[in-house]
Formats: sequence, C-alpha cells, structure tokens
Amino acid sequence: MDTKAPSMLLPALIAGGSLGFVSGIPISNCACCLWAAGAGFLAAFLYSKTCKKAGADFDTGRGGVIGLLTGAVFGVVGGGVNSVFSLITGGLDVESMREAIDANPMITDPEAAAQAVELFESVGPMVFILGFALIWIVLGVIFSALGGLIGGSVFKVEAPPTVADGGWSSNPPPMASGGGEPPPPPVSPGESPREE
Amino acid sequence: MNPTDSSDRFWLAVLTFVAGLFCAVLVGIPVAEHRGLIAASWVRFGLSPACHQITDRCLDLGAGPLPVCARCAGLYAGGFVGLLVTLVSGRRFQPPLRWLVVAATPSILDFVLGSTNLPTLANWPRFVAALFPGLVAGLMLADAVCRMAAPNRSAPAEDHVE
Repeated sequence: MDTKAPSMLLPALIAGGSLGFVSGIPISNCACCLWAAGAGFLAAFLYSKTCKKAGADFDTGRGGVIGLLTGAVFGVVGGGVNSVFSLITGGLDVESMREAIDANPMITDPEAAAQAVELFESVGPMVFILGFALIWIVLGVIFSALGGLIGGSVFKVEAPPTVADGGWSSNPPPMASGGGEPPPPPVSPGESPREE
Repeated sequence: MNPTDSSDRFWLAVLTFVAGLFCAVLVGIPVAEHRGLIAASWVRFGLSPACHQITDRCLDLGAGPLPVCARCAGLYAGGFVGLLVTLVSGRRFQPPLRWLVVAATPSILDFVLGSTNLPTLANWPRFVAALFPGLVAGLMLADAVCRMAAPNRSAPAEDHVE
C-alpha cells in the first residue's frame, strides 16, 4: 500500500501556505500556535481525502509527517509575510526598533532591551529577519506536527483489502463495530434466499 | 477507553514531560526576569511569533506578565493536563471531534466579541474558557501518540466488539 501513497506536498502547500499567510499578517497575529496547529490538522484532512480516493492508508504517523512538512511551509510563508510587512511599514530600522522596544511593556529588563538594540545594530536587519523567520519555522513545525498527529488520528483511512496471488491480503481491515453486517450465506441453485 | 501499554506510556511520558517543561518555562520567565536573568527576556522574545503578547491580556502571577496571553496559557495548561490525565490514568480517552468544537465554543465566542469591540471576558475567565479546548486537544493528542506508538495493536483493539 505504500507504493500507492499519494504525494503529501500539495496538501502541505495548500494548508501551510494559506494559514501561514494569514498568520503572517500583523493584524491576525493572534494565537499563532493555533494557526500552525490548524494548518497541520487541515493538511491531514486534505491528505486523508486524497488517500481515500487513491485507496491508500492514512494513519497517525503519516499525519505527524504531513504536519511536519506543513509546519515548514507554514513557517517559511508566515515568517516571509511578516518580514515583508515589517519592511513595508518601516519597522526594521534601528530607530523604529528602539522605539518599539521602549514602548513594549513586556520587555521588563532594560539591560535586555539595550542588548537587543545593540545586536540589531551590529548584525543588521536581514540577519534579524532570518533569525525571526527561523523561530517562526521551529514553532510552526512543532505546533503543526501536533495538529497533524491529531488530524491523522481523527481522519484515519484504511485501505481496502487487496487481492494478491489469488487470495485476500493477509492483513484484512477490522470490521467496524456495530456497523457492518456479515456477508449473506451462499445460495445454492434453485434455492431462494430466506427473507426475514 | 482502551488502556495504554508500556510503549505508549513511554512516548506519552516524554511528550507530557516536554509539555510540562514548556508550561514551567512560561511561568518561570517573569520570575527569572524579575531576578535579573537576561536570557529570560530573549526566550520571551522568541515566543513572540506564537502569541501577540499584549500585556493587558496576559496573566500576572506576581512577578510580571506571562510571555503568552491568558487564552494561549489556558490552551497550553489544558493540553498538559490532558496528556497528564491519560498518562496517570493509563486509559486512552478518545474524544470525538465535536467535543473539541463544543469545548472551544466559549473561547471562539469571546474571540468574536473581542474582534467586534464588544465586552469580553477578563483574563482569568478567559484562561479557564481556554482550558477546556486545551484539555480535549491534549486527550486527542495523547490518543494519537498511543496510536502512533503501537499502530498494529491499537486499530483492531478499538474496533472489534469483544
């Protein structure tokens, strides 16, 4: 069944790209971890649909893998979009950075604030952008993988049994609880099936 | 509610430990900053892509605002509790997706109200509201980890009627 497994790239690109773009916009930068986890979950959902069509397995492990892939896309797109917005709004020159740090009440340690400005001046905005994008990718991969794991568990797909060498697969799928009925008994010629 | 086995519990314990460590770091950052540890401010900065970090919306446990908002803190704490409950009880809870939707409804409503400039929950009620979706997500994650740890065993065991 592994040979029939469809590519994970398209669901990862769709889910990671779209939600990464949304999370990168400064006004929607709220609960970004949920955007990332949602991207992994959405990618798992999309991939499960593809697997169902292709007759391939989709389980929790694959959900985690597609979550990782989606998180990488999410991080690159989200970090990129956020950096572009920072460049457009002029938030990456030293004075703007200093003002932002001074105005941020969350930065409680003045020595840390001074260090941040000093670092920003020494390395330049591009290194800062890359560092920030790297953090974005790491966080995106972690949370998206978790979302993908949950998605793989929720949208699990089991491939139908295959006929190989004239017989059924040695690993048939389990019968659904309560939902499936046993196959009808064989009917010999001339005998009408019993009606209930 | 299928019981977990030893291989499940190992990976579950690892994940629970990491989640607990993460929560401890969130609580520890303001304390460390208060004691003059500069590295804590860098960790706070590193978490900025994960949350808006608006000070008014962050819980303050005495040493300063947490590095994530009350809603995010509730989600993380709930997730940790969900993993811990599964690990300690040795039972796999398998909440359906609709539980997550129901549990998230108060937080979603609060978010919508906040987006439309209507009155919203204060920080602690917001934290409590986010605990529930976090808890359900934690239970779902624990179940997913158990499935991944022993995929061949878990699938027939949960679907067959004994």
